[in-house]
Amino acid sequence: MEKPKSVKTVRKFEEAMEFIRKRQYFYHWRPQYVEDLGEGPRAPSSMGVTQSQGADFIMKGYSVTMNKKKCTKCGTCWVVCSLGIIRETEDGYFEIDHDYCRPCGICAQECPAGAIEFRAGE
Amino acid sequence: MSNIKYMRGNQAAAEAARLSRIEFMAAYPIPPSAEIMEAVRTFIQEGKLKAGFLEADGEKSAQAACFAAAFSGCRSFNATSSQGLLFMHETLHMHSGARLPMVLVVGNRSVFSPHGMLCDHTDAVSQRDTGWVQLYCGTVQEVFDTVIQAFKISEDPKVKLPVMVCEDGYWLTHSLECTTVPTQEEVDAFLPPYQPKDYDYIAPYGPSFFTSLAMMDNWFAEYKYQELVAERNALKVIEDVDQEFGGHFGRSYGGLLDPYMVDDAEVIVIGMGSVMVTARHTVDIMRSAGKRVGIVKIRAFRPFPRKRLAEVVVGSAVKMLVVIEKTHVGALFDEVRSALYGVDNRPGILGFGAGINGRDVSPYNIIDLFEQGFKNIGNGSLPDEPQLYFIRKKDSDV
Amino acid sequence: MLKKYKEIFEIKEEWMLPVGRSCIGCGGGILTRIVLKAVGGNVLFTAGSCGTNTTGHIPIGPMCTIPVPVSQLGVPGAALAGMEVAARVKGMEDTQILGIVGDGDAADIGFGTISGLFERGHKVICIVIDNQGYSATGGQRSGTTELKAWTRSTPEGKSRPPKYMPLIMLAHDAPYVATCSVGYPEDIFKKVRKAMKRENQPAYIHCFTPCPTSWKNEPSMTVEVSRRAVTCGVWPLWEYERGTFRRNLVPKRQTPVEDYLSLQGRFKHVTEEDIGDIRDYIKELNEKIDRLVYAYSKDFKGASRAA
Repeated sequence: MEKPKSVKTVRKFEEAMEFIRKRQYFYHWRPQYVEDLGEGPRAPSSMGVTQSQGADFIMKGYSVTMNKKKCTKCGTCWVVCSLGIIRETEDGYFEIDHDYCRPCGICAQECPAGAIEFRAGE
Repeated sequence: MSNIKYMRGNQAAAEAARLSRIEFMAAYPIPPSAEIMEAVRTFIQEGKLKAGFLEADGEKSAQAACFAAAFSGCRSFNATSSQGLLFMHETLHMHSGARLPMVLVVGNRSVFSPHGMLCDHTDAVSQRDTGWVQLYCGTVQEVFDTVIQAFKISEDPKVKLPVMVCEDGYWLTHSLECTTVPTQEEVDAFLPPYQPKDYDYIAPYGPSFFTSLAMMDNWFAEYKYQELVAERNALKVIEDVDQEFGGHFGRSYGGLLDPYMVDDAEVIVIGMGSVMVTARHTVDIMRSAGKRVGIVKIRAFRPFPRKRLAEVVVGSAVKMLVVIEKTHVGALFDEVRSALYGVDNRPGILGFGAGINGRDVSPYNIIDLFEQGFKNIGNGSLPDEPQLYFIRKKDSDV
Repeated sequence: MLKKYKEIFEIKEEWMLPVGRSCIGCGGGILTRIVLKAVGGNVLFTAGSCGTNTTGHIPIGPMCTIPVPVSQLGVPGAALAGMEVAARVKGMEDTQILGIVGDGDAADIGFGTISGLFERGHKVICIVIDNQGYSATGGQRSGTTELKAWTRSTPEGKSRPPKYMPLIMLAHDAPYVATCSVGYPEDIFKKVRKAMKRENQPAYIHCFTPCPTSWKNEPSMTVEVSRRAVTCGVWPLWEYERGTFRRNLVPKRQTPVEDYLSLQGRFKHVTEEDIGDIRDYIKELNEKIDRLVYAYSKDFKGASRAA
């Protein structure tokens, strides 16, 4: 890609990640599992409207773990991650950044080799 | 027999609309008032309410549809908030100029930019020139009662103006409170069904035209004169309806404004909305500490109760007025100042914008505001503009 | 690395930061990430209501390394048009102008502005995140909500079929119109790359992105739902490029529509009759697309000139 004309407004990804980690902006809301509320009251909003209205259930204590032995380096998990937190390591395998992972389980569902496990518990 | 239900402000507004037997609702969802639209739609689907519903493609379309329904003779209802209210600004003027009744519930929320989401009165006060009657509520029970009263006020033949019922976004729309809900018969006894006269709506007989061009020098100013007379009448009608409501249901809210302990107060805080309920408790605290304070909760912002306010706050004891509002534009400050312009022995007026975009105004903040009032008694040069209360100077300020 | 993802994988740079405010399993997040990888860094970009999960919240900061102004709801076409003309005036002709617009914004409240944008022919890419409802305000129905779907403002199920936006933009003589789905990310990448060519602009790409919050599906099934939508025919993939109209990724065998409906909680209440109506709608839609494929093909003999 050619360099953009106005460079001062485009920050590189690494600098931005450094800035975020220094200020400790993690996904600090450790979600609590509540039963399916159906059409009942909505989850309290501390995060703005998108997640408060209509969020009937929130995942608590679910985790996503990568099993390197089964990984075939196909890259599917890297492509479908909705936040982009799966990165490639030097040896070609993929690792999940657990600081920012919000366990949704899409990578586990899509992995053709079944190398990612999505389960309740830390 | 009324029963007590535990409900949010949004649900109270929808329940009140159902008991008022609305005939038409068109709405576009916007938080915090999106739930009103969903609740009324659910009532219609369950058969508890017989009304027409239109899921509009925009707030302007929604209000224009309500305008069309109103001139076809239906009792109309709508619910919106900040950006939606600004988007339908044009149709608000159209509706009040055409002298059609309607009730619009506004969940007050702050206005772009920046993209705020919490309670703020800038959206409704910026519509003060549209000619609508504006009523501000302090509790969920008051929201419920005001919606029912609003239909009666707007359909009164001396008024015939649309009414905006303003409830604080999230503080009232999403807070659960115990609310007394009367039965359908009790509400029917207070609020009769909407019966427009022959010239108030369009039907396919007889030649007539409606809100047509009044170009050149043909009667435009005379229509506006009628509108001003209606606004003047509304001052009396709001008080009468509130008293009548009190007679039927046992609850009333003081009509145009609700003073508390102002007879011998030295400093009075004037404001609107749910923050005045907090202020009422603060007055009790300060009175027990020996300070002579009082509050005036303004209920009707439009038409502004100038005479009534002058009667209440100008007296031998009052030395300072502190006007607080949830906007940065100084709307209530300007209104109070101009209401007291020609009055003798008027007290000094200080203005603060406190609670912008949902910043909490706690009893400590209100005590501090009263103290500012006491400090400035005798100060000859009070600021001409409202100041914003409690702005952070550094990122680390709490 | 799978062959189909090789081209995407070559773009090592990430433009989306993970400090997101999107719901878990948001289809829009996957879409935005792939689109930004395809378009690269030299872009001016505005986002719509649910697309604001890619912008930022004060005081955390932006969630893209590219600055993103939030466009107001109701005027997406005007924001894109203004940015495009301003970029030309400032001499940034090779910068891409990109808009990620919600379906409520594009099809309902801001439809007039999108129509005006295409009529004036600005050189922009307009990508619509279609989560079939007003998800940012809680999940009410929009013009593009599917038939018989539960939403908060149609609790008994939507009684009318959706407004099919891509064909409306085809009638605006847009040089490039395409539909895509989050279940096939390699397809999204290819289509955005095609839309970046200047002769293909103004381009319109309408993307099927499930929203677990409003559709009540399991968040991990987002990509599976989008795939089943294509294979059962509810969301046919096609593209129109300056006179050629073709279908992409035609499934070898059409899967039953119940497989698609059973994954989503918003179709929990459907009866056999409703499923029959949905099947009729699928048949009509696919017939329409097939007729267009024929109409734009070489076999088409031309309209009859009989009086």
